[in-house]
Amino acid sequence: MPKTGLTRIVVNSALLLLAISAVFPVIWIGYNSLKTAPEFLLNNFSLPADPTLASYREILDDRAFFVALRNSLFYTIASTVLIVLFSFVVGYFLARFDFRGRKAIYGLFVAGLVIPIPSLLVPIFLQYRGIGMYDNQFTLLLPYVAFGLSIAVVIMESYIREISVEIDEAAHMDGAGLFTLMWVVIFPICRPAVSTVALLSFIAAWNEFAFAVTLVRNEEFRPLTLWLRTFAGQYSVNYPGMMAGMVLATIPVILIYLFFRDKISAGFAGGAVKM
Amino acid sequence: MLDRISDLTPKALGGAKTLAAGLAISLAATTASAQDITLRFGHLWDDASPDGKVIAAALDAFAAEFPDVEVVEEVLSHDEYLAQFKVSAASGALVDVFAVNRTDIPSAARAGLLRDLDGAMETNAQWGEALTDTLVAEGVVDGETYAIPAFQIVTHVIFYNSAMLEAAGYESFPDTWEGLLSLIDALNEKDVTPIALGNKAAWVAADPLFSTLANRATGSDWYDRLLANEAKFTDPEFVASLALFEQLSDVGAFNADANSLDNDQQKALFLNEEAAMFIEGNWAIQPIIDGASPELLDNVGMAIWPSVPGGAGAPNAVSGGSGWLWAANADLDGEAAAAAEGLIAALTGEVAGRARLENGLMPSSSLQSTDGIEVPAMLAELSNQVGSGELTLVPIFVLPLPGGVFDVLGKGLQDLMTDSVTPEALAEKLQEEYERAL
Amino acid sequence: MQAFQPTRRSLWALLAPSVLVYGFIVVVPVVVGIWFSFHEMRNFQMEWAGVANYARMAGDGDLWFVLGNNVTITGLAIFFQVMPAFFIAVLMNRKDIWAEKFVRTAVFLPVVISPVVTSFVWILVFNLDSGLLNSTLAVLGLEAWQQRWLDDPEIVIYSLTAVLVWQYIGLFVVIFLAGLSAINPETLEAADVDGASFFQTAVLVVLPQMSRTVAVAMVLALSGGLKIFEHPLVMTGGGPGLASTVVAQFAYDVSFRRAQFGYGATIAITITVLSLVTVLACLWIINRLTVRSSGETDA
Repeated sequence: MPKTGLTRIVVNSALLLLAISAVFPVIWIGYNSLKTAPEFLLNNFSLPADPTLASYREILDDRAFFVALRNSLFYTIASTVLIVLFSFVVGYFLARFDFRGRKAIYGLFVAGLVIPIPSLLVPIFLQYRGIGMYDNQFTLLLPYVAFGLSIAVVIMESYIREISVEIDEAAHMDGAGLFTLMWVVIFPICRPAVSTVALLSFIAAWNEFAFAVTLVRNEEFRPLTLWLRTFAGQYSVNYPGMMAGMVLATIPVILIYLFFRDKISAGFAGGAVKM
Repeated sequence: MLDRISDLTPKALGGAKTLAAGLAISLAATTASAQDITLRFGHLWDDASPDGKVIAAALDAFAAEFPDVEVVEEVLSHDEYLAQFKVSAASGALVDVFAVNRTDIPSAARAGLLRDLDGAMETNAQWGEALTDTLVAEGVVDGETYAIPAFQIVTHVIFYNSAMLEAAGYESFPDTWEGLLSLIDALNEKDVTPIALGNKAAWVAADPLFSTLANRATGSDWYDRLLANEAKFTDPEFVASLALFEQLSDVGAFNADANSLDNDQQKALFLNEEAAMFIEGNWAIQPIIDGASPELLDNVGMAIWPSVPGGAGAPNAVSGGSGWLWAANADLDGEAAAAAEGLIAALTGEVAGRARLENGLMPSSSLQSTDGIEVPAMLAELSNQVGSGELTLVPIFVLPLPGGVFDVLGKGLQDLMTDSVTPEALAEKLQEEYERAL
Repeated sequence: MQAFQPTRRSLWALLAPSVLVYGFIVVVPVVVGIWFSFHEMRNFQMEWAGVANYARMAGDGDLWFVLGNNVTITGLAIFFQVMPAFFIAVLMNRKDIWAEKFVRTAVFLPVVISPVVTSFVWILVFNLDSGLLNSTLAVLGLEAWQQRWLDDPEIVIYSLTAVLVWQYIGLFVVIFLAGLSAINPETLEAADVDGASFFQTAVLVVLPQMSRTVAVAMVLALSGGLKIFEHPLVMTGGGPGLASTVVAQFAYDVSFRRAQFGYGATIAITITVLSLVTVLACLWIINRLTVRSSGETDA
């Protein structure tokens, strides 16, 4: 590894530059959302001379934003909880027990990692239509859970595999049943993997667009990504207004990320990268 | 503000309630009783748009006439609506009353998805007879009327800034193709974008620009023969129309980012006086009035494509018609069907017609009276020209054709602008797509 | 595997909800899609079409063109995203990193943001007249470098790739960092003592110990390349022409704009199979290389 002072400066500057280029566009929409449209057109680089919340006020006066926010929260939280529960159960069984069909189930979930989601939109739509599940409050929940399960099962399975079987056996000796063993003994040990799965599921569901645009028609059930697309379309010539919408739609997921950020690496380390 | 936050939390958790309500709605729809009929009503115009305001006015009129009917609106944006319609139709899940694009009418009618509305037009004769015949024809398939025109549109108007034209040495809009090309040169020399174009969604070039341009080159006879499958896209007159469009792009008529902007942005370029012209339909009149400075508004003129060399088309032809029509689900019967027909009548009746004029739009029927309506001057001028025959309406090019042709033409015109395809090759591709659907 | 086993009934009862949900959303649609691919829609009704859709696909120049776009993007992403991410991760793994927490947090930040949002941001960056990119070039006196980033059919695919690299490089950095945390630190010290250069250490010492991590990264990059959908849809609508259309949008347009659901499903099924085959082939190759190059133990 290089040690000289100069290399150190070069390496660190490069990394800082990378970090800043990752963050800058986010900050850029943040401060430009506080401008008026004419000020933005004049110079979109400078800080706002006279910050205004007018764009935000306009959005918060519109019921549509709150409906979409409510829906996004519902889809995201519900699917995250379900994915964590389901993937833990599946991951535990796959890691601990040898049963007929084990390989097939594991293969099925891994295959989901490489299926291009947009290719399933049309069949899923027609299937949904066929059984009348199209366009209600729960429509988007199943696809979000199903597609989140692939990576979640892989992460959970490999994490649980790393946990010594002796723990299970000791608990079993102490008279713990399967339920106690799984949820009281093993689940708490899996906290890093659970955090990673939860964060990835939250991000995926919060930002999902393809299913939402295909499966949901009623405004009452639309998530924020759909609201944002329509909204940004209407604001295609009012950039600060559009940016205010993006900021509002993005803040929740950034907060969740900042809260869980230390955990992602840990979960990956114990999980996915060793699949 | 407060009431919004309060309806945020309980509903987020109370999905079951929504499910119950959903069940109640579907039950109500199947056992339609006189007391509570619910009509699901799908369209693509949000409340804030001029068309949306017309629909709101029509819904008020409908509610007065049918107090027991609840109308649930389902509004989608344009692209999503078109996509959703196709899948809904394919899976037999259309809502009760809906907007249908002309391009989808023949298929939907032949699949038995649309209610025959001839009876309604006879029963409610006052409404039926007021509808403009040429527009009603767009909803007729095999002799039966399956859809009622939502409005009349002219999809080709060149809005120009006469001050900029004067500065480039033009007192009036050129009346020959050569004249237009030299105007474009003159404007480019002044560093003004000649024609602002926002063609990201590909329909702006395909309809407002190309529909009328194609007619100039091919004439209406060729087009009728094309629809009858007696002419081909590869015929020289149609290839010539593609070449004309390519020529416009080659001489620098458009802004360099024409295919990454949308149609609001092309309007903005014109309103900010960065461009001398833009081309859209009559629906752009109201936004111009709302968005232009008083000086600019005085200078806005309206023109159409001049005649083109060797073209068979009439120089006063402009593309237009209805394009979007209202239809009802064929599965409806009894009270619900009557309510659906009532809703369609309200959407195209006197109240809606007046609301259209007030919002800078053109109704699809003749009004009993236009007293007390302030029609914007530009709109009045345009509808007078159409009404008097000074302008002849010709079909919006792609609409009577299958959806695939629209898709290929839209992308193909973008390709022509970037010299990625030749007019001949594009014509062949269009013919291939057309034949696939025959 | 442990000694005691739950009964088969309780085992499957607990697995059932996950497997059913997954089967319904992922497995059944694939089957439905295959059925669809042998039909075509006419007047909104499905009619048997035999293998006509597959025959059409073989001769569809547009389809192969847009598939080429996916290949371009994926290839560039592996070169400019996966490879740099590996070296960035190795650099970040050092002890003496300034503002380490900030750097680690920042690099992953774009990954969490919705593609719809980042696409809108980059539309503004690429805007011809007032965009961040062209105006920065103007300030630097580099007007000659200004481009029609989204309108030039020769350039738009690279602009699109740049956005994807920007947004997802952090994901690969985090994956490699996680992999690095598992390798034997003594080997790094030994390399250091031997005076190995940074690249020598990274390629000769670190890489061979991380073949599984590399495999995961490659799987994600390859399958990600066929999953691209939102970015071009929002940024360019796939245009000009088909210049930035990817295969997922092509299938979407064929289905939803042209109402040719049978052909749309045919394309969808084909890219699913293609994706599976590519990923399996890639895993197989990595596996072979690993077996040959080192006696790595199974994790």
